[in-house]
Amino acid sequence: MGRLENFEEWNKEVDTLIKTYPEKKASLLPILHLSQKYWGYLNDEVIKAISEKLKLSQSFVYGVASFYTMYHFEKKGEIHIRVCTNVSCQLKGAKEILKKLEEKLGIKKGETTEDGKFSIEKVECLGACDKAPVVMVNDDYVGPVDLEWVEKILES
Amino acid sequence: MEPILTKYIKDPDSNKLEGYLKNWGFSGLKKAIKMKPEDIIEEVKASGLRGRGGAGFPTGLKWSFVPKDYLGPKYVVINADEGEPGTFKDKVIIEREPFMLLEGIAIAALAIGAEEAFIYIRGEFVKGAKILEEAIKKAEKEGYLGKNYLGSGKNLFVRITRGAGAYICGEETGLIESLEGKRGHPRLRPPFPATKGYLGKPTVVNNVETLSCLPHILTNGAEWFSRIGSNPKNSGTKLFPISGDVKRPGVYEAPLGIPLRELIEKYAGGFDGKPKAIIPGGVSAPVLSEKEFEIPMDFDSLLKAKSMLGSGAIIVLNEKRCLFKSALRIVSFFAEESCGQCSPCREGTRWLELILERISEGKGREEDLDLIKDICSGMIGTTICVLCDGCAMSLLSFVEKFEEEFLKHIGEGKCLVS
Amino acid sequence: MPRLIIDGKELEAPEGINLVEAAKIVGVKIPTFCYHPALSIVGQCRICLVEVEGIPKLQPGCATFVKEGMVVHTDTERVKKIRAQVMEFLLINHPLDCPICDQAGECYLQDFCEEYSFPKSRYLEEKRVYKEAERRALGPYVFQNQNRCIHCSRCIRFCEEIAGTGELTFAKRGHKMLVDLHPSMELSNPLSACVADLCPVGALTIRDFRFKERVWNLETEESICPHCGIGCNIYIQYRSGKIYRFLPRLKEDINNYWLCDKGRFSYKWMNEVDHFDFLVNGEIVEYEKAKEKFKEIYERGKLSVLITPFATIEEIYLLKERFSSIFALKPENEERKIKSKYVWLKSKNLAPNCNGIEYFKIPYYKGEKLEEVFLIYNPLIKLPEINGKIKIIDTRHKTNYDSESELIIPSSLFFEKEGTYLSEYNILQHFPRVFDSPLKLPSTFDYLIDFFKNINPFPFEKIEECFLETGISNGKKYEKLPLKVGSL
Repeated sequence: MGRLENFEEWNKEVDTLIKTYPEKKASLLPILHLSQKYWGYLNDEVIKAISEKLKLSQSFVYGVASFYTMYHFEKKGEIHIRVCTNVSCQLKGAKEILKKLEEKLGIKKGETTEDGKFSIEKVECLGACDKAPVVMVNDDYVGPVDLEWVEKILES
Repeated sequence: MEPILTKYIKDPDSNKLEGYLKNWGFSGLKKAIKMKPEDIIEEVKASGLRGRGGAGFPTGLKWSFVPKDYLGPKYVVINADEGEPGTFKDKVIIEREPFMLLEGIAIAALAIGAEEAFIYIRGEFVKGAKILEEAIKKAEKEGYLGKNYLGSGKNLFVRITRGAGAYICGEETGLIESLEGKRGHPRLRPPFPATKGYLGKPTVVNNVETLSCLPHILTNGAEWFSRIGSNPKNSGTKLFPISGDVKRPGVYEAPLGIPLRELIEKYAGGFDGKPKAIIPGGVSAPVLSEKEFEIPMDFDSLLKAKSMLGSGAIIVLNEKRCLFKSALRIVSFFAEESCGQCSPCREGTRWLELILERISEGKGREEDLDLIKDICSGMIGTTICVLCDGCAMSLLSFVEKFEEEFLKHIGEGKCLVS
Repeated sequence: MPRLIIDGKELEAPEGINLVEAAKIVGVKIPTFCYHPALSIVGQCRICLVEVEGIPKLQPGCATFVKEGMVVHTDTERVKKIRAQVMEFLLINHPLDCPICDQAGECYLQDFCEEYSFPKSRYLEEKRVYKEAERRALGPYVFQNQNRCIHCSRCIRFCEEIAGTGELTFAKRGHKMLVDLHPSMELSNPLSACVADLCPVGALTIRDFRFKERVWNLETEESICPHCGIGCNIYIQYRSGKIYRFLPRLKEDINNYWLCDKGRFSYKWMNEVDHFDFLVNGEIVEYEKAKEKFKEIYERGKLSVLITPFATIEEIYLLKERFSSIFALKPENEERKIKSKYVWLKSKNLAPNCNGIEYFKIPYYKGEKLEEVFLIYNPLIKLPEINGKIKIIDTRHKTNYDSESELIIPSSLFFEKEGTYLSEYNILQHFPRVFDSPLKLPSTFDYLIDFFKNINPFPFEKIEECFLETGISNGKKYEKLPLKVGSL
């Protein structure tokens, strides 16, 4: 270990997290979130660090992380756009939003632009159907969005 | 009638402790502290409160399964993993009335004798999680939670765990697994969480909205609550998140049993275009066709109509919508969200998706509808949880009620509506 | 004990067993994929769904436990239909590459297909392919073809619950879910190959056995793994005089359902032999000549015997009766372990009969000066410097002393003979002859009995008589084995 930047700081935060749960393992999801916040994605080193910390096998940690769509194993863009495509958003043109994003950025859903600025992800219901079509830009909900919004966000 | 849970959500201070004290004042919890746990359970039983998360199980009854003489820790787990497509109601409480939820949690904890509670909130609700976290800190600081809260001689510590993007973690045992730091595979039952839940300890899992009803039930009495709604078994108000082809999408609170059409017309600004189909309780709930739009929106009426109230999430589809495409989108959702452990679900949801995709590409065959129906029959009642049932029953309802739209796609490769 | 009825057959079942096990009592078979008696119950394959009166939903036989008054049906149309549907769900994405699959012939999917499936596939879509896990080694012994996997999770539970190492996991979810491991791990726990035994299909196979032989061509005999002192119960599978594989044989208090990798794959010395003939001073001779030579050397009265802990109880007994100077060679020291139903068992000796050596109070050889030596050799025991002239070697494998010895006896190998070992846990286990030596070579026991006929004959001829004579089992016969021998 040690090749991870800010490892000591992370280590401290993890220790605090662990203490808030009755069992070590129960802190795994929060630790995965925290680690992603630190390093952007869960590379092999990160998985190893977590497994050592929680005394779980690397495979176990990886198996858990890969179950959830919000954990990534590859670097995402600085601006990560999640586009909801479920029924309510589908009705309100989510497909067109996604298509436009893909066209404008020259990448497909699930990909990241070469400069590392943008990535797009097609997601299931975000739980904000009154704002359909809704997207998330990093941690923030935006909606209803339209094609004009797409132009704007890409300029910003 | 006047809303209950959402009465003050427009008050800018509703999510601050001062605002909550002014509006509500923790009166339900104060009353509960003076009661015996079994009396709290009886009160909630008498209110007729049923789970607002999807299954509609009577809340008091669920609590009563927790062993009273258990000596170790017991837990209250709050299901805030709102993920059923069409549903965005719990978010309103979390963001606007976090203290109402905390008060409800405290009442539930008193009822079952828990000193620790975990809120499992869906990962995307970053803002909601922050609001809750601050509310918990504030409540602890001011003595409404934590050690010897309100001088009750009891402790209650509430913690938040964020989910990370898995619909199945809204299923209570999938949620518990996830909360334990595992993949969210639903568990075999028995044992039920009430006897063996979080970390093997007695646990009740309640939905955000369910818990938020408790302060009001305790304050105003079971009798009062049970008289709201269709009947004592379908009592209280319900938050209805309404989206799709309506004029004003949003969350609306109305008494259980309100006729569907009235709900949309009175609350959501009316239909946008001529409605053709309505999903009445999230996409797991079988779709309703026009002749069913007068249905009373309560648990039992919808069950009788072979659908379900589910989360109360309503999605309206007007006559211009291709229901075949909506059905395909719903099936894709289930295929994406299946945890994968049971064979019928892992394979069946995907198989259905592939058949529908093939049909959408104009390669449908006459036999496809019969095949779809038969695949669905192998998916209903055959798995550990009901995600698979939800997928099959939803699709079957589309196929049965709107067969002509499927046949058009199969026969001519195009939508009936365009 | 609860009484219940399964398919009209009444039975009393032990408390706490599931319907799959209860059904066996009355001869009813409930098919299972994910259920395994030594692993936790997950109830996820759904092939074992049955009808229980009074419960509207079908219930998984593996996760439903016997109760007084239960009435169970496993043969109704409803059950048959759902079995066919579960089979269909499992088969739609299965590659059906049985002709090139090592599992063919011992595949649950194949077997159940005939019994429970619809006759025709209704699947028109493309089959799922796991590009990352289509054909890859998971570790030194196990090979994965994820396309064949039915997601029963036995392998994952084994690594978690039995090996305790957790190399395997489900990754991703839904129809994309696969058995996977993190790139920083490999499947290399000491019992890793057991996952291939557990795999009901050909998703996990054993690298050593891949494409070697079709399983239906193999013959099977019960035996004991001779590669350490634990004495795991095994099946030896062979064809045309060649051993192809060891498989674990259920023995709850020793190896349960398991076998360690080292033991499992150490069999190769049995297939690679050098000596086929009796040699006297390097010349091939007939048996009778060898017998004469033996008598000549023996009667010089200078012979000491060097044996190894591969020698059986019976062999040691014969030698001890006829030789006053007898030593044993120490096996290598390396820990081997296996998980019984209850605890981990360990052995520090890479040989099967160290406790037998101890029982007969044979000292280990520590370089004592010997005049002439009769060496009973095993290639798995390293020969130390021997302070004496080696005159007779009982061996099938070349040794450094072959040229100087006057007599070489190519006795039959471990699997070509029978005998008894006393394990490190003092359990006496008899192992039968797997097959006769194709060259009709005598076993050590056989030739010793015969060679001594005209020197100083033994009062018995048969191996079981000899066994009783040793007194080690207090009169208990082979049929009663294995048995625990009191503390020694």
